[in-house]
Amino acid sequence: MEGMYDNPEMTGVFLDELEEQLQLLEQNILELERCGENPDIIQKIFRVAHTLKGSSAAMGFEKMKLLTHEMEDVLDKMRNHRLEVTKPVINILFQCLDHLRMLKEDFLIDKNDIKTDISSTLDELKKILAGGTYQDTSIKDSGDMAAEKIENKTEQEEHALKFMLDLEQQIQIEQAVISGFNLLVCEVKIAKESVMKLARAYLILNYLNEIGTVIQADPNILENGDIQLKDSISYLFITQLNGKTIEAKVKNDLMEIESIKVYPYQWDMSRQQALTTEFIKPGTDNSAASKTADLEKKVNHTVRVDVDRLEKMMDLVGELVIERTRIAQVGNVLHERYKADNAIEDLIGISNQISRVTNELQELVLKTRMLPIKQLFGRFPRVVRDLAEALSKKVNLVMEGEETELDKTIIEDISDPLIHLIRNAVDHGIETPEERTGIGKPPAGTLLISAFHQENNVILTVQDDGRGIDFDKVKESAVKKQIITAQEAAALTEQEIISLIFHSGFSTSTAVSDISGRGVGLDVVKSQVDKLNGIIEVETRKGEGTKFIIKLPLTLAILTGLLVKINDETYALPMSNVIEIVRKPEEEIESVKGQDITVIRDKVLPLIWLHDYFNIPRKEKKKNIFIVVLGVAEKRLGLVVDELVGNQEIVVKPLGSYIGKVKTLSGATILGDGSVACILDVAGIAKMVGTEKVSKMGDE
Amino acid sequence: MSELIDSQYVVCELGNEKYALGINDVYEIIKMKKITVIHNSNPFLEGVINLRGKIVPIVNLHKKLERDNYTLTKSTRVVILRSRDEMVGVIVDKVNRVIRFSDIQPSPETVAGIDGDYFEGLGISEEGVISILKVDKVLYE
Repeated sequence: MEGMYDNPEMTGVFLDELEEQLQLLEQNILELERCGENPDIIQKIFRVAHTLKGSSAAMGFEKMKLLTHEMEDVLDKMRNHRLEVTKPVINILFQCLDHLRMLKEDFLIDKNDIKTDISSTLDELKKILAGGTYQDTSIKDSGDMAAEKIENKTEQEEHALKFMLDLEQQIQIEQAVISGFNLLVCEVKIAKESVMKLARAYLILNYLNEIGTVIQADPNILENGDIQLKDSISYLFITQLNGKTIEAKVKNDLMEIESIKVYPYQWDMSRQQALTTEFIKPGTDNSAASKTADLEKKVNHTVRVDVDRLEKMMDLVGELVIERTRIAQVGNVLHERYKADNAIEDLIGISNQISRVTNELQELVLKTRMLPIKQLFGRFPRVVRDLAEALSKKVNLVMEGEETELDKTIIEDISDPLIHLIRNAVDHGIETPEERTGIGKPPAGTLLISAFHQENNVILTVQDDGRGIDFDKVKESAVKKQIITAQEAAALTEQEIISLIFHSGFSTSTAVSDISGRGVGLDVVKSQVDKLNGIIEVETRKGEGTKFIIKLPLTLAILTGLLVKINDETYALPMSNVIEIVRKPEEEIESVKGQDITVIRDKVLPLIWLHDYFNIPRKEKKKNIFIVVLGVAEKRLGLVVDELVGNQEIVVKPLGSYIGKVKTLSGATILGDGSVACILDVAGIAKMVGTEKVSKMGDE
Repeated sequence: MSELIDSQYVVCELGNEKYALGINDVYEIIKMKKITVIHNSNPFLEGVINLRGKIVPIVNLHKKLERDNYTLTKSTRVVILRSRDEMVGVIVDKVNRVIRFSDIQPSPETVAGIDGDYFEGLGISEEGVISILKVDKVLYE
C-alpha cells in the first residue's frame, strides 16, 4: 500500500480536491452561521466531511481521516435535529476547518511527519457528541431499518419514479427506443471495502458509456460531482446489447463490484409521447437530434494543466505576436517596392489572416491563465467575520464582481495587500456599534469590495463607511515618528497627507494591535502594487468612510506599452502606469532645491531626466518638451522623453540572470523590426525622484 | 588533461591574438546584430540582442581581456556561448576554424598580463600555442 500513497499524481489530485473541498466547507460554515439551521447547508457540510474522510483514508492520511470522521458524526447529529446549531458548535466547526488547513500544510511539507495536534479539537467534537442526546439513537436505528425495508419492498415498483428525466433526456430515450435500442437499468453494488466509491461509480459510468449511452444515474452523479454515495448506484442507459451480456461484461471487466443487476426499464411510451409531442412542433425533429448531441457535450470536460506548460505556451505565443508584426512590416515594404506584383498582394492577405489568428490565439492563451477573482474573494468573509468578532464590531461584507477574471499570478500576489486593506478598514475604519449609533449611522458598518474590468485593467476597490482618515492625526503621527517636520506638515496638501500613510513605519493606531500588523501597514500594500505595475488611489471623507482603489494590469506577460525615445534609444513604458502625456514649453519648468518640477493642472510634478542617469546627451533644445506623466501606486511623476513612437502590445521578456537586476529596467521586449527595447521600471524610476543625477534641468 | 586533448576547439581572433573556446561551450556563431545598450549595468556588458525571440546579453571580450576595443569589420562575429544554463554572446574579430590540440600545457600564472585563472591551459598545435579560455571564469568573474 505504501507505493500507492507515494504516487505523486494521486497526491496531486488529492491536494487539489482537498483545497476545493476546504473552500466549500468554509463557505458553507459561514452560510450556516448566517442563516442558522438549514438542512441543505448541513447536508452540504456533511458531504464535504464525508468526501474528505474518504479521500484522506485512501491516501493513508490517518489524522485527517480521524478528524473528518468525528466531524461527520457531529454533523450527522445536526442533520437529524438531535443537535442544535449554536455559536459554540459553529466555532468548533471553524476550528476543525483551521485544523484541516494546517493538516494540509503539514502534508505538503512532509506527509510522513504531520505535526498538527488535533487532539483538542477531537475532544471538543466528542464533547459535543456526548453532550447531545443519546437516548434516541436506538429509535433512529430502528427507524432507519424500517425505512430500508420499505425501500426494498417497493424497489421494483419504484423504478419508474427513480429517474428524474428532463425533456431532452426523454426525447433521447424516445428516439433510441424507436430505433430499436434496449433501455436498461443497471444496478451496481460497489464493494464495501472500496475506498473511493465515487471514483468507482464514474469508472462504471465511463464503461457503460463505451457500450451504450448513459441517460441518467441515481444518485445523480452526472450533474452533481460531490454527491454522497451509498453502496449502490443505478444507471439508466440505452444500448444495443442485452442485459445478460452486460452483466457478464461488467463483472468481468471492472473491479471492486459486489453485485450487478441489469433489467429493462419500463418506458411508458404513450405517456411520454404526449409529453414530447406537446413540446416538439412539426418539423423540429432535427433540432431535437441536435439537442441530444448538445446534451452529450454538456458534461463538462476539463483538464488540469501544469502552470509551467501554460507559461511555455504563453512564451511561444509571445514570439508569434512579434513575428506577426514583422511579417506585416516586411509585407508593407515589399508592397511599396513592387506595387504591381500579385504575389505580394497574396502575401499581405496571408499576413492579415495570420494576424487575425494570432490575435485570437493570444486572447485564448491569456484566458487560460485567467481565473475568476472569486477564488480570492472567497477568503474574505472568514477574515471579516473573525475580525469583527475579535473587535466586537458589526460588519456587513458586500462583494461585487466576483466573476471578474484576472491572471493567476496576479491573483496570488494581490491577495495579501487586499486582506491588509480589509483588516485596516475593519480595524481602523469602521467604528464600534455604539459609536455608530451615536452619530446616527446604522450599527453595522458596510465593507464593500468590488472588482471590475476597465479597458486593459482590473480595478479593485475596498470601501468602508467608517470614520475616514483623520488628516490631523496623520500629520501629528508623522511628525512624531519624524517622517516629516512640523513645518513641513503645516504645508502639506491633502494628497500629500494621504501619501504619508503609505510611508513605511507609519501607523496611526496608537495601540499596536494584532490585527492590522505592527506598523508594517500600507507600505507593504504599496510595494506589492508597485511590483505588479499597478496604481493606488485613496478617496476619503471624514466621518463618511475611505475608499482604496487599486488599478492593475490584466496580465503581466503581455502588456500594452507606450514606446518612447530617449535620445535615440527606444524604451517601452507599461501603459497601465501612464496617466497622460503633455507638452510643455521649457519656460514652465522650474527648479526647487535642485529638483525640476512643473505644474500640470494645479498639481506639482517632479520631473525625471533619464538622459543624465544613463549618461547620454540630452537632445538639442526644442521649444516644447514631452512629459509622460506616470503613476506608481500613489506617486505621480513626469518623465521627460525626446520622442513618442506610439503604443503597441509588447511581450515582456526577462533580461536573464546574467545581467541581473538593473535599477531602471523591468525587462525587455522585441520590437517589430527585430530589435530589442528595454522596458522601463516605473516603480524604480519613481524612487529616483530627488536624487541629484536625474532631476536638474542642466547647467546653463 | 586527456579529456581536454580529445575535444575540439573553436579558434577565434581578438586583435592579433588567438584564443580557443571549447566546442561544447559554443552554441552558435552569428554575424554582428544590432545591440541594444543596457545602461548602468556590468561594465563589460555591451548590451543585448534578439536571438530568435530570446534576449541574449553580449559581453565585450576585448575589454574583459584588456585588449584594444574592437572595430566593426566584415569578419566580426558574435560567438554565443552556453554557460550556467544561460546563453551569453561574446564579440570576436574573426572566427578561424575548429581544431584539436596535440598537447595541452597548464597555463602559467599570467598569460600576456592577464590572470592565468581565465585559461584552461595552453593548446599546442601546428599554428602555434593558443590559450584556451575558461568560459565560466571569463564570463562570471
